[in-house]
Amino acid sequence: MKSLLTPRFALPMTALLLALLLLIGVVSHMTAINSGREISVKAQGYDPRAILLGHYVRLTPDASVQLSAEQSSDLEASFDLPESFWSQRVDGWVSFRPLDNGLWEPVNVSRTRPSVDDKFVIVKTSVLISANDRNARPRLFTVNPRLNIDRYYANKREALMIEDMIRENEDVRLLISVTSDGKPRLKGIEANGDRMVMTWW
Amino acid sequence: MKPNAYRQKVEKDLSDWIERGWVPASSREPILASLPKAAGGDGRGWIAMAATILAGLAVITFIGDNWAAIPRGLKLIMLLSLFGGTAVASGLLQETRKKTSNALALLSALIFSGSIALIGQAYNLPGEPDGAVFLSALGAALIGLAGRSAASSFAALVFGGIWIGMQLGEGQLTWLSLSFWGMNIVAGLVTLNAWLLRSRVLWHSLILSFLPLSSIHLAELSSLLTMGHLGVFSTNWDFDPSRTFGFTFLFITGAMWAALTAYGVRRDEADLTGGRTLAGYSAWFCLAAIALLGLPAHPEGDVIHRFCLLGASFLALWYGAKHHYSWIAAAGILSLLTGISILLVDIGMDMSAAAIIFAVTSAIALGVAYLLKKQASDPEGASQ
Repeated sequence: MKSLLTPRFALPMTALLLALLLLIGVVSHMTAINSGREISVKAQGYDPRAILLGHYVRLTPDASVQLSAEQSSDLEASFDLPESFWSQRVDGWVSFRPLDNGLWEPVNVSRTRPSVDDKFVIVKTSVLISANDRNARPRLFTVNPRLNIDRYYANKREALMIEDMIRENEDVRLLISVTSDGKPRLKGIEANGDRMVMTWW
Repeated sequence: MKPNAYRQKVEKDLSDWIERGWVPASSREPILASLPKAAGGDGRGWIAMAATILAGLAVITFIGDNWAAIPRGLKLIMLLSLFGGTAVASGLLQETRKKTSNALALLSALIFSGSIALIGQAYNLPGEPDGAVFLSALGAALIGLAGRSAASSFAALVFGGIWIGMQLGEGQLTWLSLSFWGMNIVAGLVTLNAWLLRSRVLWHSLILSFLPLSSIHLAELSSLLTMGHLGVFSTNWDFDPSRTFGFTFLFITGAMWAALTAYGVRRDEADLTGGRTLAGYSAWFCLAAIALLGLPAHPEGDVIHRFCLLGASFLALWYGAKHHYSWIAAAGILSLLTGISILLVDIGMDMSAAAIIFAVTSAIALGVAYLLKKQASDPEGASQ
């Protein structure tokens, strides 16, 4: 027993354990993004430089949509929203539906997981709810699911290219994999039809 | 006492004792030969450590320059191999080349930390930088303990300090956070290693790390007792802490450090490791807490606070001077100056009067410091 605690044995074993921890993190992430359902949303916001983190794309999904009166009423019924507010962040379940152009848009936000058919994808995320007019009744809301994504790491060449494309208002989309538990993970980026998807190698 | 200093003192004493006829001159050489050999002092260990770090930097810089061109799978293999390689080498060398092993363990902990960030970037792993820093601290603490490496354990404390800094006002510095308890485990692992290694550097670092960790615990306890909720350090500082909270927090903080001062003195009296160091730091923290107690005290309680502060300062000064605890005496002097300054503000003295009092106090403090120094360098004369 004592020999197991000597650095000659204990340190390599600890290193193995820590390396396995990192490996498990990578494997579970890659398995999740490969097994989840893919949705794509428009990308917005961009900064390709960070001193500490290296070159990466600081971007957020732009999936905001104005809800109809009926959808706004459902939203108000589902969440305990204040009488008067401009914007409020809530955690909830967002139902996405596909559009003809390949993008996905939110159609419903609820506190509990809704039962919907297979053409919808349900995502668990924080949502920014904005009131179009805080005093109007009935109120209309715009919802913006954050999808827990705020960055995409890229090498310098890719990062600068994406920066140019977003500045020129070209078609840059985030490819998001949604697992069965509703968790969204960034799978890659699609720029003018070119897919840059995360792979093992 | 370090071997070099001890040897020099024995050499000096021997000359004196031989001159007085207490020890025969023929015994000089056998006595000196029986002393532990002086440390090498040629700095080989330091050169080895610096060279190891430079080698690591060379590898990192080279890889960094070609990083974008390397496939992410290869990056993963390279980083994990480098990490494992340095850890295995450190483990194998621990018994025969302790300094090299220590340097390699530190390198291994740093590579592990870098790997978290680089693999996270390569695979776009979700998570925030504070999570990576926490994992770095845990990794360094485990590597330090497994490899008996003081350097790696020290790195764990540095990562821990960075993590605490990142968490101020961000929500994790509370009893309700698992990460916070995780950071306590990191401190526990480092404590165990410091005890195994009897490392002075780690002991100093641990006491300093214990200050913020214990403050968070005591703030949570005080918050629960006086305000009925947790998470004082997790708010965005927009809350209005009550006087009762501030007083309770500082009172139990002062009491805890006073108890640790007493414990440190007892350890020192029993010739146990680290007692003197613990007593020194604890006295400083205790007196600081007592000085700060004046802030949340009720205006009517100011007089009592000033008496307590001056009393504690004099007690520390007297005890430190009497028992040769220079750090406790120094804390007493500083605390006394603080107390006098507060009193000057209280009574609204004019600048000239204040200047005279400061000058007199300063002269007294310097006189005490000189006497202590004299006592320390000539303990025989001082006791007569």
